[in-house]
Amino acid sequence: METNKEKRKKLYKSLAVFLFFAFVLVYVPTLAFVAKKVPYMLDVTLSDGTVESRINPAVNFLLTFSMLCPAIAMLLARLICKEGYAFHGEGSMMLGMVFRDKKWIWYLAALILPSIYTEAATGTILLMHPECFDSAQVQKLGLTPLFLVCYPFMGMLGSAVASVGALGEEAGWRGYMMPRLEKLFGTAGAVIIGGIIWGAWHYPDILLGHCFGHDYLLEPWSGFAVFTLFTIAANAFCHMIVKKTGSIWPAVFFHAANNGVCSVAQLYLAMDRVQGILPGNLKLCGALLQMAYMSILLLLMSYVDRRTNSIIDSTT
Amino acid sequence: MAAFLYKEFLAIRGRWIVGALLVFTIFLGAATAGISDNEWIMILHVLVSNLGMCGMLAISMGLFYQVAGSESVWKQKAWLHALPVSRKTYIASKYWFILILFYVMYSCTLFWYSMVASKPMPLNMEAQVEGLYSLMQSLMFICIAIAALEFPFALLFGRQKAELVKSGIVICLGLAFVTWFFFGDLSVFDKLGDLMAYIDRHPVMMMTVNFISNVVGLVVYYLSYCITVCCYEKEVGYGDE
Repeated sequence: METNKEKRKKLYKSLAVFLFFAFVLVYVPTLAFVAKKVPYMLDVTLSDGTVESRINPAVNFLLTFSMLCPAIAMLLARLICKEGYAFHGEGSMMLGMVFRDKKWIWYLAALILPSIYTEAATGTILLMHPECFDSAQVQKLGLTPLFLVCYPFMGMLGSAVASVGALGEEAGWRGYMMPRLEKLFGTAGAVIIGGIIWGAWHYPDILLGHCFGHDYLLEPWSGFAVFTLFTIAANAFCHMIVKKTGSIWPAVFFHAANNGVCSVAQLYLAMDRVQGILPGNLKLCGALLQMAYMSILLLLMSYVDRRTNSIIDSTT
Repeated sequence: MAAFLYKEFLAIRGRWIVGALLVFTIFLGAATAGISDNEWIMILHVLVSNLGMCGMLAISMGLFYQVAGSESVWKQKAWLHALPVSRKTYIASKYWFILILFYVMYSCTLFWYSMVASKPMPLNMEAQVEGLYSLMQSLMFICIAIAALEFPFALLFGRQKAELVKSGIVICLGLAFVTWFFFGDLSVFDKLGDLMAYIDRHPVMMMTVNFISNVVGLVVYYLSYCITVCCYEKEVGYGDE
């Protein structure tokens, strides 16, 4: 019979192995890219003479590969610590999908929430800076009202279908790391520590220019701080939906939908009209606003869920 | 459900398929790292896109029938009656497994594409490569819609009869096309160029139509599941236990 001390030691060991591989597999190649000053964006001259900025394909592949590293680290940790590869149940990879008992609501919420807080964040910037509102791009691209209605849902469907990268991350973070952190530090501790670890794992990408670009205020420290706050909030939501459904798939869909969100409000945002402190820091401000709205929605959903459960408990 | 999914995985020799996908990924990584010539990069892109499309078609036409039905429907139903699971769970496992296969194939193609695309290419080649992959998602949903139409036949009447029905439909359509080709009004081919030009001029509309058809494909797949469950239980009088 294992004592509590032995159990905790085992948990620390498995976490250490997982974090070692998760960080080494990402930090080494990404910092190599940073050291070689590989550009994040490349300027491409199109056939009509205009110049377009596109993400560097080599960086794009590095980011795609990085997203799979937590899953690789999880598989290695399970192999080294002899924990097996169960798909569902206690200590499993939580790859099952259950829709009974109204759990499908959490899957839907995971897909829709990123659109809501992104639109809210962009809408807030447009309200604070109405001079940035410009419908010229929408007219130039010939976007019809039907397209604009379908646009956010295109992002959701495309994200759900192309969610292998998100699956790679969530299999590691929510599928492996969070259950162990929760056993060691409780739910609140796990959410904060897990969020910080998840944020810190992205720091080399931020150095490369991912998420916030370059030449923003207090680069890169403000980027690190804002991103870590964002990942703590996102970790809270992901952990909640994983616990509610017993599956990492809602977190996968949430993560993919967040990365691939198609915002209608952003189509009307003219970046070149931004003034004051915002130029160069728009993405930082956007991330802070997204985090704020995500936290509000998380508290709201948590409250509604508790009220619903208490009503059900009182009637049964 | 998990046990059924694992059974299907073994039935299609899933370990060999996973092994082959891993070996190809390693080969592709090595080839991409070693190649710098634009022509060879284009060849790799053609290889990846064709493999992706062939994979989708292989699932739709080959693996689908291995998963969907057995030769004898009555033996299958008698076996199922002996198991402590509902017919709904059994049928759901088939539908889910096919979706998982498509998801895995699409994900592999995306990863391979990002690997090969890490090599820079001239702009005109990039446009050609985009054209190669642009139909991938639509093809997947078309295959899902086809699977949705074939599933009820395969599960209710058995693999052999379902394949006969499908072959019959394809032959009839082929004969109808040949008849029309020889005796019908072919002026519609003159309008094909106008249609292509219209599509080029209205990319936004095409994206919207593409998205709506993808959603319709998924809805058809779900309706197919509902119809199959209903017919399966009604036909042999088995209800959920």
